[in-house]
Formats: sequence, C-alpha cells, structure tokens
Amino acid sequence: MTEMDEAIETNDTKVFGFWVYLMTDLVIFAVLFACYIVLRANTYGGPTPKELFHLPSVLAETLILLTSSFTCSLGMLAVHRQLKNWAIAWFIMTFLLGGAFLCIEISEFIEFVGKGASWQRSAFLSSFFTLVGTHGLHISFGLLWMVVMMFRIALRPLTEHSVSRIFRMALFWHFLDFVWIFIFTVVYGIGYLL
Amino acid sequence: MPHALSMRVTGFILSLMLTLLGYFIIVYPEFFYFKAPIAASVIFILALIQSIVQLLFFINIWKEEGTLWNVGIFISTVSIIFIIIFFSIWIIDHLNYHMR
Repeated sequence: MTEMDEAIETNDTKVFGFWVYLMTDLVIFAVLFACYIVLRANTYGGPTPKELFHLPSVLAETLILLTSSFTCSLGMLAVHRQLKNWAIAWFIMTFLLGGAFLCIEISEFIEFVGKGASWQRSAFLSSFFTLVGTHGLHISFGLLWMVVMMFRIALRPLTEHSVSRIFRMALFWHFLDFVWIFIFTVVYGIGYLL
Repeated sequence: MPHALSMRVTGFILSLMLTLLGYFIIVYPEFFYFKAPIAASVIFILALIQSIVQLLFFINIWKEEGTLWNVGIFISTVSIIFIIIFFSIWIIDHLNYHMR
C-alpha cells in the first residue's frame, strides 16, 4: 500500500465514523418527531397548527434549503477538481442561502412568540419548538463550520486530507436538508391538513 | 466529471418538483379530490420519494466500489426510527382510547 492509498483509507474511516454520528443524530430527531406526533393535538385551548402556520414562508424555507444543498454539492465538485475559487464561490452562496433560511425561521419564531404562542403555551408548541429549534441549531453549527472550511480552502492546499474534511461538512449539510424534508411534510404539511 | 454534474442537476430538478407537488396537495387538497387523511398519506409518500432522491443524488449513499457499511448502518437506523415512531404512536393512541 502506497502512502497515498493509506491516506485515502484513513479518510474513508473518518467519513464512515462521521456517518455513524449522523445516524445517531437521526435517532435524536426521530425521538423529537415521535414526541411531536404524539403531542400534536394537545393544544390546551391555544392556537392549533392550522391557525398558526404560514405555509408560503415554509415553502420558501424549503426551496432555499434545497437550493443550498444543490450549491453545496456543486462546491464539493469544484473541490474535487481543485478549483479553489469556484469552490469558495459555491460555498459562499450556500452560506447565504443557509443564512436566509435561518432568518426566516427566527422571524417566524419571533412572530409566534409575539402572538402568545410560545413554547410555554401548550404541549403542541413545546414539541414544535423543540423539534424545529433543534434543526435550526444544527443549521447554525453547519454555517459556522462552513465559514471555517471556506478559510481552509482559501489558505491551505487542497490535499486528500483537506478534501475529506470539506466532504464531511458537505455531508452534514445534505443531512440537514434530509431532516428538513420530514419537518416540512410531517410538522407543517400533516399538521396543517389533519 | 460531467456525469456527476448532470446527476446533481437531475436530483435538484426532481426535488423541486416533488416539493412543489407536495405543497399544492397541502394547500389545495380538494383540487386533487383528496380527503385530508388521504392527502396526508400522499404527501408522506412524496417525502419518502424525496428522501430517496436526496440519498442517491446528493448524499451518494450507493458507492460503486468498496464496502457498503454506510448503507447497512443506515438501514439499521431506519429500523430503529420505525420502532420508536410507530410504537410511540400505537401505545399513546391506545392509552388515549382507554382514558377517554
């Protein structure tokens, strides 16, 4: 085994280890989803999902996150081709889209709390804020990580080791998009319909 | 890597179409002649298709070479998730029914 092969081998192990972490994170989200589904109807006289949710902004959030996942994958392709400037450009776009997503989500939360629909109002709202807030927290950490990786691309050469690190960040971002699909459908969609 | 690029573009277009279709079913279920429970199951199926699109086109879970440990651990996680969610709903609905 040459040195290069060895580098690829250990990086594969790291990616796999990160994948195992993502799977345990998925279990955390599953528990929060189960909590939300069980407590959804317990509004304690407060606002119901149908009265509260403003679907156009949720659609905007979903489209923004899907697009950011796409631009992130394009950034990763540029990294594989050693095109530093393109990679940074795509990751800046991903960062801006992620920031826009977070702004819409936070303004939605502020609006809910302003209407008196805070997490203390009912079991439904507690579970809603816990689930969506946990996802938002993951997005914030993803954005922080993306900034660090952009500096890394700008300042360091794109070795096998660097590429693997950036790949793990991209994997994390796609994973957050994957979780949001279910938040969009189960929390907002089914919450609105039923 | 033109193949990789075309895969990303295909995945992106598919995911946009699935999202918009799901949104219209949520907002106008009567347009599709769906009652609420049927509309809910249809959008859930759309979400499952969407998640498979994401896994194949963006997360690239299926590697052409090497081991498929990542797929194995993903499937076991999905079964844990199924157990947690399905049985929570089942038990709590039963409790709710008996305490009425």
